[in-house]
Amino acid sequence: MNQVPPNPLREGTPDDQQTPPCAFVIFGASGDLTRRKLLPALYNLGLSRSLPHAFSVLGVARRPKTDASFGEEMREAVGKFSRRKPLDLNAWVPIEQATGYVQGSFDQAKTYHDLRARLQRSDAERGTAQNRVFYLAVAPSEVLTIVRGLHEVGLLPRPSPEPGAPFSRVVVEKPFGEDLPSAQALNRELYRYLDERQLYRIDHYLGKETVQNLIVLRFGNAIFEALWNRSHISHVEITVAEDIGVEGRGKFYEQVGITRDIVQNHLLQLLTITAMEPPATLDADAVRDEKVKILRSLRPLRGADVLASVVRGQYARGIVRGDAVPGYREEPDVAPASVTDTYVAMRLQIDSWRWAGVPFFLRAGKRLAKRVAEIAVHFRSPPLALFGTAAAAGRSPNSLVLRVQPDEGVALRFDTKIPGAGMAMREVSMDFRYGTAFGGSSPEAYERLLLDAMRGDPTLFTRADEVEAQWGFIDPILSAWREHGAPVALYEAGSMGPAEADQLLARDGFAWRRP
Amino acid sequence: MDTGKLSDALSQLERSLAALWAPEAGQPPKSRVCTGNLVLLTGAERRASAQAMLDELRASERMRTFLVSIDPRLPPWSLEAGVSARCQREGEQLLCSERIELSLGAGAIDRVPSVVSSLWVPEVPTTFVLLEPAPALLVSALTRDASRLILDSEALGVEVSATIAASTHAHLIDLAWMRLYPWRNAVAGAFDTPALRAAVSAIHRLAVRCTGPAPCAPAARLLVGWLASRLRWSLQGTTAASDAQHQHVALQLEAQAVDGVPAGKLLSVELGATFGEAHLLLDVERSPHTTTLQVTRSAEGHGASVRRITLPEPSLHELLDRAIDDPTPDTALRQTLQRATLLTPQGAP
Repeated sequence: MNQVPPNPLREGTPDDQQTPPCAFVIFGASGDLTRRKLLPALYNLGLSRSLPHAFSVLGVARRPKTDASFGEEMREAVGKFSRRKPLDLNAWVPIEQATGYVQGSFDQAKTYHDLRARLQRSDAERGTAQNRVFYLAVAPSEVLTIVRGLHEVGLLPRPSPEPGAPFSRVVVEKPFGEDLPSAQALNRELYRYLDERQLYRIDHYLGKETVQNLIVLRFGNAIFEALWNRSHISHVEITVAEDIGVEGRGKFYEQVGITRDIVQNHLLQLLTITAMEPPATLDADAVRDEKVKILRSLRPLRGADVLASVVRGQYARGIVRGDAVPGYREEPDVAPASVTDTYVAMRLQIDSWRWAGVPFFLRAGKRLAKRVAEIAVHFRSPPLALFGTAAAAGRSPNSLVLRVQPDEGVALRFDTKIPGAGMAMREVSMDFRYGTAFGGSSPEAYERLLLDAMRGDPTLFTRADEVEAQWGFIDPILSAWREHGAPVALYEAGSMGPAEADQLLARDGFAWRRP
Repeated sequence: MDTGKLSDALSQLERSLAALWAPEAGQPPKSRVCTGNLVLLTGAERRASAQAMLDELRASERMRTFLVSIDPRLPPWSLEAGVSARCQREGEQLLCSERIELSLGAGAIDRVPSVVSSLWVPEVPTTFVLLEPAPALLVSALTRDASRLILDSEALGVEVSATIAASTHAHLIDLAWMRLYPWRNAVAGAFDTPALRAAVSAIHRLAVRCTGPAPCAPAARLLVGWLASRLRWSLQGTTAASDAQHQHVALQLEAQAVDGVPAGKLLSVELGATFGEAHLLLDVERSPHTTTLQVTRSAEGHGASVRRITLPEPSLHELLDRAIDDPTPDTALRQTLQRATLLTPQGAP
């Protein structure tokens, strides 16, 4: 295929993006994710002039729609859910004009033939150069069906080593399997049709600014990395708290629980980025190799260890943000005696030279006091309590808190002298907020991740061995709960979790940070 | 020579700055927000409008902002200064940024950089904004220490802007260049289609019209300069160029007076290209009293297309906010300014 030279009028300006021409195909185009996240993300990329100049969007779903009606629906959704308002028609109209819809069932060959014809038209009319990103915003049970369907009509050719050769990539949403055997089986099946280099397993937490900034903070600033080890850090807390409940998804939650839903992916990803060694380069595999090493260095929790190091909780009725809310067992489609986890706290150890003896405390919960995700790195106390303050009580005044959401930023806490006579001390905080420092709202995680998928950078996507290592760590915990009949600690909705979780830290002389 | 003494006034100013942070009874504690210094140079007569613009500027909520003016009405060596805090309540605290307003007498021009640099916050970037002509000595001294320079070549002129641009390695942003974006995008977009890509190297005619009286308004010159820099044209005055293959390109810069439209606004860009056996015609036209650009493209064998683009008309503070937050240096701008300076009628100096 002859390569068309780049448009010189796009060179040397911010329009000169590295994003190659491509068609972006969304399976599950009628769903909530498409309306709330994917199309608003594409629109915001358009607004930031990051979309390829040769670009099209094709939605695929079962519901009957025309190109025009799909475009109108998406316009309304983008107007409602975009982080930047009001809708800028100069940015939106070119996207809408490049938007099409293919109606069809995912298990019928005709759908894929129709899609192929539309993609060929897009290549001819819009110059999308046979480059495709297929985004599977569908139930996990439909992933294999779609990949097989794409393969059968020749839409998933294996990647060519030729520079500039057409590409076909598949973006898959979590959950990736429901345990280690199912994740392994899914990987094996997908490899029949795809190369690992074509698979982009999305964990949207990795697209958040603070998470990426953690890499810069650690490896771009010598001051932090020098302290980032067992000699200076006493413990680390990672929190993903939600104030909402199961929101009518009781049936789904009964099968999943928060450990599978949040800990296996988001929390373990935050842990690996916090704890990993510096990668040799910023190459995708170099970064992911280091993350996998952390997962493999996690001290396994098995049998009775699980009962001592992991607290399983479930919310009871209470008051959240001023409103009375029901307990989990009172939610629709939830068994009255359910033992499903809506909260989990765990004490982990990483067996490495850097982290030996430093406990990592992870917690995730629903119906907690507030919605917050953060990483708090607590430093050791001074060796001598000269001032008879927090340090004297064994509590360190120093912590570095990386807020992932909301209000992304970094805060460093330290003691300072209260002005005046004497040596009275008070904790103060140096605070950096993205919104304040850089103005406007930070890009949504999906913007960064969709762009990376189009540009072929898988660094912020989860590799097969990462997923399997995550399940390899989580599976024994779930087994131990089943086999030992682990108790379920109830906590009042609107609190920050059960008392048992507080005791988990208290045994080491620590207490959870109140975010 | 009376050299005056500004340091006493500066000391007083520093005390006033410190006093901003004194606790106030019944008020929550104040925290200073400062992610950079923003220095805006303005003439005394435009001071009030500059103040109003800064009040609207979002970036001033997080930067130490300096409004500096030289006022010939003041005694030559005098310095009049004022400080204020702009605060927003966030939860239990007030987040505040500072504004420093400095008016100096005409004799103190060479002291301005010293005064400003003694007051700016160290270790954070400094953005220098120049939206109107100012003494070269002052501009050059303030530009030297700026990490970001925002100017407006529509107000300063192409030659002055190009000279300033050439004198600094700061991240350069031109508001006139930003206003030109919809036009550039419309022209570039005509060649995005792979089948028409070859036509971009075969442009043989370019006509740019703007509101009069002068045909070489900065916007028109920037647009031609941009095409010349991207397509490696050699400009030969305002009527001709030769392209990268040494082929002739006919240039036409025209002015037209339009009632109610200020001078110097672009009205249309037309270009023609012949590639292979085919001809491409592109016409980007703005109706004088609307904010719509109509882009008409016709090419043999590729049909014709017409699309309309709404021209955004951001206010000055909106444009400036975008310029302050612009993350990526625009490498085409310096080359464009340099080429645009070559657009003088043949024989003119």
